[in-house]
Amino acid sequence: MLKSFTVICLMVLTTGTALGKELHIVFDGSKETDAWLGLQQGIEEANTQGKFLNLKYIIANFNDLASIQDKASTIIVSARSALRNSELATKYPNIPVFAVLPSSSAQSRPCAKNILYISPSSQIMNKVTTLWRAEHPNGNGRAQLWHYTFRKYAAAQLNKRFKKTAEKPMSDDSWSAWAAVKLFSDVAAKNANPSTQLLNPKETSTLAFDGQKGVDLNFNSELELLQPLLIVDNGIIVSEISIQKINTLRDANSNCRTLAAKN
Amino acid sequence: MQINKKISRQLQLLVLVFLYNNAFADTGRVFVTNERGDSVSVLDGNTNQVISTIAVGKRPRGVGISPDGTEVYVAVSIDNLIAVIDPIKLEVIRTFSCGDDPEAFAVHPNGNIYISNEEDAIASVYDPSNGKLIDTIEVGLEPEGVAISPDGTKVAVTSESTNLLHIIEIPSHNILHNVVVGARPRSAAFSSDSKTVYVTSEISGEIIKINVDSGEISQKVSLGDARAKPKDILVNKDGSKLYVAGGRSNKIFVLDEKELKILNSIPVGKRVWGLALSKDGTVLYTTDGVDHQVSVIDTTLEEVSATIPVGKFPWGVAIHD
Repeated sequence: MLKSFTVICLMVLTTGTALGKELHIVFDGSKETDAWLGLQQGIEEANTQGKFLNLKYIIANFNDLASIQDKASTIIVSARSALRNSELATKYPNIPVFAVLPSSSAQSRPCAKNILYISPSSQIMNKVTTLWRAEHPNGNGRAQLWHYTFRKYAAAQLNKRFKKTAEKPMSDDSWSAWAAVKLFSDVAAKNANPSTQLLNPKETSTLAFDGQKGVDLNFNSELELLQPLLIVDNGIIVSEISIQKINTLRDANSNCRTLAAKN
Repeated sequence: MQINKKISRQLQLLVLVFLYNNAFADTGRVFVTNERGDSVSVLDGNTNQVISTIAVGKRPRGVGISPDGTEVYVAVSIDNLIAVIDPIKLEVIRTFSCGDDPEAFAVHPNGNIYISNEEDAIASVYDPSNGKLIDTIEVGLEPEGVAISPDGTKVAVTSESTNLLHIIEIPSHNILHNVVVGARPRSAAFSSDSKTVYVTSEISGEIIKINVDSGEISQKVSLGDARAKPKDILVNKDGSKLYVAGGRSNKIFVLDEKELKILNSIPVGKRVWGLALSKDGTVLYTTDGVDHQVSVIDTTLEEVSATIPVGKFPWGVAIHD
């Protein structure tokens, strides 16, 4: 009896249900964080799309990974440290690991073919802030990925949806985790093996992802999602910094350190 | 005596027909919604002058005209209603509630209105004569563009945040196809034979051509201009060309329908979104949001013949012709 039950569970986990194909999202982080709330928002929206395409997004845990046969439809969303991201990338080389937090230190970040950075590095964020303050000596603005008062490009709709379900304003971390899942679902809507696609630099450099920021977003060669940033001063958005301007602040040399040749 | 009565009845009928024709005659007026002006600018299509500005409520966006030409409908997004304007008297004659955040809509040949309700992720169907909700159709997140096939058998709805075009059967309202298109699909338009539907995807900058029966994408093209964020799309009168509002590229793109080749681009004002084509196909009106103006394009010359200042951030445009 127990054996039959286990077999049924495994079948459900590996082959999907009559409702459609299942896609798995493993979250690595605290469920007390904004990133967790953003992830849930992303999954809810992915399933809204999925019901029209026979796709179902479910949260899995690391224990499930061994039994999930369809690794090509699985991602990890990490709200942990750079070190932990390296460990995950090495342990699961064929699964995309979305790093949703900016690196906490000024040190360079690990590069691996399967770590996709939703947030720019803290170095870039700091450089954008410094540049803006140099141009606005009386201002105290700071670079952010997102702000709950952002309205343009249908940002108002996303902020409203998030606040309705999470009962708090959308922060950088919640946007970042939402974006990771949205990106996955956008790719899954067009590809049978979305995770494989996300490990393909040709795909990640030409995604034209809609992060509700008004432009098409793509990853660069270091797998960082290139995106406009907002300058927020005293709770008010005072400027939008374009991708082109941010790119001028990047070092000519690589910002990331390559993981040992395990990848 | 009886002959006199007969003549009198015939005269009465003639008078009624005359009155009906005059009351419902097409005026050639152009109705423009001003998204941040909370108003509708009415233009005289012959003189290109604003002849009236009608307050309609907060954030008017979609605009359309009843099949018999007796009413102009305006989706007033923040007030969650449709304002009905008399095109002759130029006043709001009634309003009716139509769900949360109505944005774009299309009027069916039978008079019903199909509306995208952005926040509810539904398309709703209303009878504007009594404001009654006929049906709701579940669609993807942030539905926007709505188009009805000329034969009245299909409605196409774009859902911006789920990158889908839904092709829906009328009157059953069953979804026939969910077509994955480029990022942020905003508008759709059918070919005159109802066999093809064209979609604009704003973020991917693409125009997509879809076979209505199969739901297959037959062609797609990128506008090839980083600033081109296409919104409205229309088919010209003989079906040989497509007109696309290029958003922040500040251009109208003219495409060959067969190959989706860009034939021409016509410079207009800033952030062009809305389009309306005259019945005879010779005049194209565009709403240039950031410039707070309407551009008038001579489609034969493919040139702007006039620009008309209107209210703040014009969004939609419809011609009473």
